[in-house]
Amino acid sequence: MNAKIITFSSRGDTTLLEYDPETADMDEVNKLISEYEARTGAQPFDMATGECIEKVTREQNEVLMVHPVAGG
Amino acid sequence: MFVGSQRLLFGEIILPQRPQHNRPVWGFLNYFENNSPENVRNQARSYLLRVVALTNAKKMGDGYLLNVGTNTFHVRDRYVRRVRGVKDANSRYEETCFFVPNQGMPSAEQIATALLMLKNDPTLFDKWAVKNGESFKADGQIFN
Repeated sequence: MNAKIITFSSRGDTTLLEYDPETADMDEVNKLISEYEARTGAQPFDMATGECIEKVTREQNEVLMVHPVAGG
Repeated sequence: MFVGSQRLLFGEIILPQRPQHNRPVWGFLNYFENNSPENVRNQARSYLLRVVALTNAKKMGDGYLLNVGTNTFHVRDRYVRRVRGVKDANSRYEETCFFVPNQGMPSAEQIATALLMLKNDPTLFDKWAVKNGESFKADGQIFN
């Protein structure tokens, strides 16, 4: 089963990245996530635990990029 | 699924010309899926229910009660109320509003976002209350 990096969007959700966790280059995955984070401020959460994670591993099948929230 | 070489949401990231089996592929993979307003609402509600379960939040009225340490928050569309928590000079706020600058995100996903972030860092409540209009990342850092 492929792993997915998703984010909430106006279309409900958007799949940002899909890869085979057994064969994917996880350094590349994390590099892309870091670039996305730098650009958008979104940070990765493991959808199996609901916890913010620093790095995505092969064990995570679904990661949600959570965008910043502004106070009002 | 290979999407092709293009600039996508990530701006600077350029996909490879050919798919490589051990490399990730970026793109709007569900671009062509049917996303009627009803489907979008159903998807958003589905994610909210998953996040509610993950954070052990409980439905209450038009929102959800979230327990984080000594704090209890009532999270609803665009508003968070601190029902119970430490009250000191720096946390005199009982309610604040919040928004996700991502235009058009369904309210169910905005609530899910707030639940995840507060569960991860309950001090965000005071940061949202004090810093009107400023965006905070899940780790509490200001995002400009």
